[in-house]
Amino acid sequence: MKLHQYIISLFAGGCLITSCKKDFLELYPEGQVNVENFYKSTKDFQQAVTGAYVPLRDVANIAFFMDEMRSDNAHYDYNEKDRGGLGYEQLSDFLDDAQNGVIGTRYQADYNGISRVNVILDRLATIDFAMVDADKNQIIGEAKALRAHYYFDLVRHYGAVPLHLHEVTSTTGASLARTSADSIYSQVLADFNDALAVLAPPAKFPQSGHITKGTVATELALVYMTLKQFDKAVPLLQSVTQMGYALLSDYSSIFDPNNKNNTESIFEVQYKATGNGDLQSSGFIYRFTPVTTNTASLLGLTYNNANGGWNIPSDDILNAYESEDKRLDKSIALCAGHFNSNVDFIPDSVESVGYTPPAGVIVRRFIRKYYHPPYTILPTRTEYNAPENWILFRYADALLMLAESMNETGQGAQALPYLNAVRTRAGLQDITTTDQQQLRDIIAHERRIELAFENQRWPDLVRTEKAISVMNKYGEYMKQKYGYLLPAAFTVTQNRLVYAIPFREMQLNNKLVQNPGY
Amino acid sequence: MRRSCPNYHLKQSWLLHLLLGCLFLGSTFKTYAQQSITVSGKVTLPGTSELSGTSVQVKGASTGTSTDNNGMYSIKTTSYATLVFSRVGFKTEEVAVANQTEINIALEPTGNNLDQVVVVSYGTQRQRNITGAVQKVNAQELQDIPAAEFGQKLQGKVAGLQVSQVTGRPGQAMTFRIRGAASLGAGNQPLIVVDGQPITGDVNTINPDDIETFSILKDASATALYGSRAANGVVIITTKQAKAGRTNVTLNSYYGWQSVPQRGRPDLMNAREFATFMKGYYEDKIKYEKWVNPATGLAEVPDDYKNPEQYGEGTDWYNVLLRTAPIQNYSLNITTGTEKVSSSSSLTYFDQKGIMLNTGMKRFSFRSNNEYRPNEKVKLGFNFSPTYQIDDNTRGPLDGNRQVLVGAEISSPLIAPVNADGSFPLKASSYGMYALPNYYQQILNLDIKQNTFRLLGNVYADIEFLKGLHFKTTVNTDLGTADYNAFYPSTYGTFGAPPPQVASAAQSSYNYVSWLNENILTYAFKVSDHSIDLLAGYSAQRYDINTRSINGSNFPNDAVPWIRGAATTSGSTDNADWNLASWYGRVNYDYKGKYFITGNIRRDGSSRFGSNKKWGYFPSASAGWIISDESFFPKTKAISLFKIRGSYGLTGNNNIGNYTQTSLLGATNYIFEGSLSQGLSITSLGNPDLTWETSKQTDIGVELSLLNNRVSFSYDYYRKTTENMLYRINIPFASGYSSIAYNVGDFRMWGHEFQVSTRNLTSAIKWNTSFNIAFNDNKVLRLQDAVPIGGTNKYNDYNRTAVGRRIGELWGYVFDGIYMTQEEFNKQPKEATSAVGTTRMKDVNGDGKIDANDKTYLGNPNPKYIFGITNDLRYKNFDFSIVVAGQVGNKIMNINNQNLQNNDGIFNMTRDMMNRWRSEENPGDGKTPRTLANTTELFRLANSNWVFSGDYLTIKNIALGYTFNISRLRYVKSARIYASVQQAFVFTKYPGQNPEVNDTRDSQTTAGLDNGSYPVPRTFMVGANINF
Repeated sequence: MKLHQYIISLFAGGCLITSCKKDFLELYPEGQVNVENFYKSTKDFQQAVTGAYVPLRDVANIAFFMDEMRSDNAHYDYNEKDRGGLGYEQLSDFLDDAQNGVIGTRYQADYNGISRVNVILDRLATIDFAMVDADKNQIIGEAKALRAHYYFDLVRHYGAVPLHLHEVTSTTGASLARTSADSIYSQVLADFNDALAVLAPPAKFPQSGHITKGTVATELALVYMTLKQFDKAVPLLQSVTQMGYALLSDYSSIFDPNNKNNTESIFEVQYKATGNGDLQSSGFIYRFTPVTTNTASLLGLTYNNANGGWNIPSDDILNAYESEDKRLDKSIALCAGHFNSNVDFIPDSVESVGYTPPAGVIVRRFIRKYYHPPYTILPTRTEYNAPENWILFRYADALLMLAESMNETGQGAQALPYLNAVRTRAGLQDITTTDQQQLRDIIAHERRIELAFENQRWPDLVRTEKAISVMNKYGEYMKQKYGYLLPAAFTVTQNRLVYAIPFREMQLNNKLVQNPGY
Repeated sequence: MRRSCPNYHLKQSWLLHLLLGCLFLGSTFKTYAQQSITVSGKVTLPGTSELSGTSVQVKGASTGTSTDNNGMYSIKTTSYATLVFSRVGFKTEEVAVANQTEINIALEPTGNNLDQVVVVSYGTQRQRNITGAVQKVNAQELQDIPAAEFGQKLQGKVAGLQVSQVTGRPGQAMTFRIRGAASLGAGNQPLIVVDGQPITGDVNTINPDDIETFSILKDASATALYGSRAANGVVIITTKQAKAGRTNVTLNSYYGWQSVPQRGRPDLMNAREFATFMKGYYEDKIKYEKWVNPATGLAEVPDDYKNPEQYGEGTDWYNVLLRTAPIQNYSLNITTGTEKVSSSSSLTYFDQKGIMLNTGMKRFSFRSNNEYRPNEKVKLGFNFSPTYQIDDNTRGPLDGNRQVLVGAEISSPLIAPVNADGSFPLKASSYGMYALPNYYQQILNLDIKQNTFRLLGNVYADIEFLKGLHFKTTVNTDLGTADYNAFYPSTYGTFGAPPPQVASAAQSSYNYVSWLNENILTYAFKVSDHSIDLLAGYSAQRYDINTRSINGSNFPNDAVPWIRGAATTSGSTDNADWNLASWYGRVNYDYKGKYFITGNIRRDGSSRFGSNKKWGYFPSASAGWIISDESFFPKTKAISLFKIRGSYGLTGNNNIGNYTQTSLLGATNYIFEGSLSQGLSITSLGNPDLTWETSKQTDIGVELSLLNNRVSFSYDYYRKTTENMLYRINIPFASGYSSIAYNVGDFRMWGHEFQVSTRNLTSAIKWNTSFNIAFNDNKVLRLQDAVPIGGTNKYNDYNRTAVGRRIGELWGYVFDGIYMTQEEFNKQPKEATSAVGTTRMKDVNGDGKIDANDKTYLGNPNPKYIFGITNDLRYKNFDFSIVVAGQVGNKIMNINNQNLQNNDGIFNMTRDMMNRWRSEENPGDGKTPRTLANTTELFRLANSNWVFSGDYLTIKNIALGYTFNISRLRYVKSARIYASVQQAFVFTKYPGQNPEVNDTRDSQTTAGLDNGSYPVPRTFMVGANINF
């Protein structure tokens, strides 16, 4: 039966060269690392920690809409020709709802960061290779500090949220119910305290950009202050004064991209204009400068800045500066320009506050802190390419936090040197009063000016329970001034002190309950 | 071992054959001494002038020939052989040679298709023996339909096959659904198999002129041998093969003119109307919003709009972009067949210009199908088909949201596309409008080319080891490469960014290699009244693609369109692959030609699933019974055939993308120490438990031939339950991820299909009609955590799929009118931005306020039934046909209304927007909101105003042909000329251009959307078919 054997062997032979090879059906992408081949060395874990920093940017890119533009510090240039920015405007006007894109982006970014930390911590617990203790501590310290930072961001903006502490590997465990704000705060405190124990103060200046003990002590102090536990904030902030930080003499050099991670810096979100389209660049300046079809005179490159005119300094903050304050000109600038035939604003020059425009010249306000022209453009011509870092915490902030905490714990006199250090640089007179209430208002005002447009104003208003009164008053003025504001705008109630849980989350997770009023 | 058994009893012999067959050990047969003889003769065919091509086969052998142009044949055979004469549409006759050297015969028309041979999965079958739901279409019937894609020819032809022309873009128009949508996101296109080769990816490069027949496989039994990819049905395409015994040269060509009909064009404001609207817009702004002109500081209407009466019609921007465009096709086919070789080669040139300016597609195709038969036992085949296609701007940003066509619709009618001096205005915006480029200039500026090359090839060897026992091995390859080059000169602008711009360029390309090796053993034998047909095989398939993309910017000027000229560049490359391994087997059993049973099984392993879940089994079984052949059945001419059949089986689907079974890390780089620091994070959550989506389908069918075969009728009922539907579902962001590929749920589809063919007149005038109609419906049975799919975002999210409802129902607010008075406003539920005169959506959940929780289901995007009617008339040398296709019961959401009804004074709009609310005294039509700042967004969100009936009846094709009697001409055998109209009339209530529109094409969860799609033209054409 030779023939039959031939058939069988032909049949089987073909099989051997193709489908019966065991790995024929085991394919992994060559263009991406797959999870089976990762988390196998210290370097892998260090790269994973690097990845956990990235969501800081996703928050920083849009946080000003929720933290600054919602406050009395900033508003927006009303863009008649493009109403696509309505969602941003509604954040400023207190008309935002659960479908607001910014709210969803921030929520997602925070949880992205949390998830990346959870992956690191879970997988670190089961490694089968030896890791040097110092490396391990550094990884755990940075990871936990990041997780605490992200949860603090969530609880401050959304209230109670789901508490994810482990890696999600399938749909099981992807949908958790909300955990009370108190338990979120407990987790934030626990993680920060763990990080504080293992991390070291900055080894050198300029710093690397990694989280340090100084970062953790400062932010942990802010958490305690938010919980009104000022006594716990004081020693932490005092320790920060011993870590080598100092105020820079020139206020604007703090934000200079040539002077990143300087002695005054405690924690910055890192960016870089690499020119390679690898998404390391920031873009705040494009949001903060006016909408124009040609940015040439303003940014030094030809660009159609359709999505600008946000976070525009308000009349209110302009009036809040003391007359001799050197920070005004370094914080706020004017853009003088004209309309073209199509009523598009075309910038011509940058001027200081107080500039009197000649007839026919149109003036737009913008934030100068983050403005360092000229800029460049990336190959795909829609992308911006700006180098500025976003500062989350700096030494002046820590000093003012310390002054506030001391005042709140009845140590007004000891608070004054910290407050006056900040004022001195601004060219202002020392404060001498030790009256707790007076000093409380003075410190709050000083924070507003010193940290203007640094995403502290709205959280400070909420934290100090001033938001409702301040914003309703401000809203009256705004509605008077701008005819486009609806009567329902600036109706600031207790419900508006946190944002809505994003609509998408509500739809996808049956266990969630929406914040009241949304 | 000896296996000789000539003297066994019938029963034992039968069993033994089956046993041996199953084991593929075969058997030996007695051979007789036979005398070689040549038989010739003439085959006459009543009622047709075409005599060539009747098949003459020696029964039981592979020897065969076919008749020449005079109906003559000649064949070498043996004196004891039996000749089988067969031809589609005629009864097959068998005649014993019995030492005759001349056999003349007249074949009798069957009047039905029951004896035709139909290509099915891995083989062919006679129509009457088929137990599954299979329908054949001959391409010959479709030759008058001009088409870049074969799908255009199949519209309205097959019950349950929904072919939609979703766009007018040349070469990218068609989508298919067999028996409705079978899947959510895992693809709904049927598997296309060309000459046994399953096609991966784009099917539109298959040249329609090469096609000889289509077989549409609908139920699980028919498709089961394609197991893993058969859930959406299978379309088997057979390309032209040579007939033995003749040489033929055929030239087919046509030329046509395409233009966009008036019906369905957007009803936009002209210049005077727009200026009037804008005048009122600014009057209201001054009145209600303290508006002043920022340029002048004065509260007065801008100059452009102060005096609307000065304007006339102005520019119709939609019209400006369109043209009458030619379409042409030339196809030359040469076939020749001898006893040893048959060969068919064709060369086709197709050129379709788009009805939008500066767009078009050209295709050069070649196909050569060759079979060599060195002896009676061996067949060697070699087929290859290269195609080269040039897409000229048809892959550019022509249609869709705010692309060229929609951008033009919303441009200012006050502005002319060309200045008096011949230059282009750079903008098409009047005062206060959004910055729109001049789209006439933009479309002329487009420079986006894609060149695609594809080579389909296969080689096979078929060896008959024993009588009826064949081994066939095939290697198929599909090689392709595409090169996309776009250059955007400084004069090129986009929505919101008119020129001048920095010139830029983009390039992308891919090349892929796909091969498939199939090895099949078949054994067919007959013992007494039992016919058995066995098949077993295995196959392995691999697909491997490399992709590249490069971007360049900062060109110094517009002189160099290549990225070499760019000052800054970036690029990347990537690779993807998948493999599939399969085993399969089939048994066809036929008793007395009355009872039929088929069993199939296929086992598929896919690289796309996790280690433990790779393999799926797809068995099926079917049976058929020709009741009319039973002795108890009355033999009348009223019912000549009555057949019932049924099937049940499983089919699969693995279209979920590659590598989703494993979590993948993506670069998440950051900056430390002022320089780039490499970071890696899990950016895509894998699902190691991911496995096959499985459809379980039952089909019951009846086939009837009535009234002396003048009427044939078939009916099918099917019910299909798809389990473990594959879908990339969204998961809460709190998980750290946004989505996961998942076996997400179960759903059910069912339907009824009717197909009737009648020969109404058969004398001098011949008139045939075929009609088909299919009713389909579906229901979602289960979803993960009962969480609906879709409808969660404020924008660009128009459908929702939820348990207990149909797949992909349209989703949005219910428009409830306008708050006409302050009093009405005070009483009614409101949204945060509501004011008197603004949009009132319905408070669906009754909580007293209007927000996203009030969105609801607005309609089913799936038709309740689809139908087609074809009429053919012949009189003397004239032929006439008319093809109608239609559907009823689906809804379309015209999401382009978010642009066309944007009343912020930044776009041109539909005419009805003029009737807006302006004050309580001047409240408009009660359907159009006022223009007050910050209140207008709600009207732009998906709502019931955008939803329309998608019912349509389209006269797809009308053709009139004339065949010349040219016996006097020496080199021309026959010639036919014809004229036809494609897309002749569209009857629909849908106000948009194309009621077949479905802008998301294959994604059933986002079906039924019209986003300002490329218009579908009407085509007038003339053509000729010449045989040399």
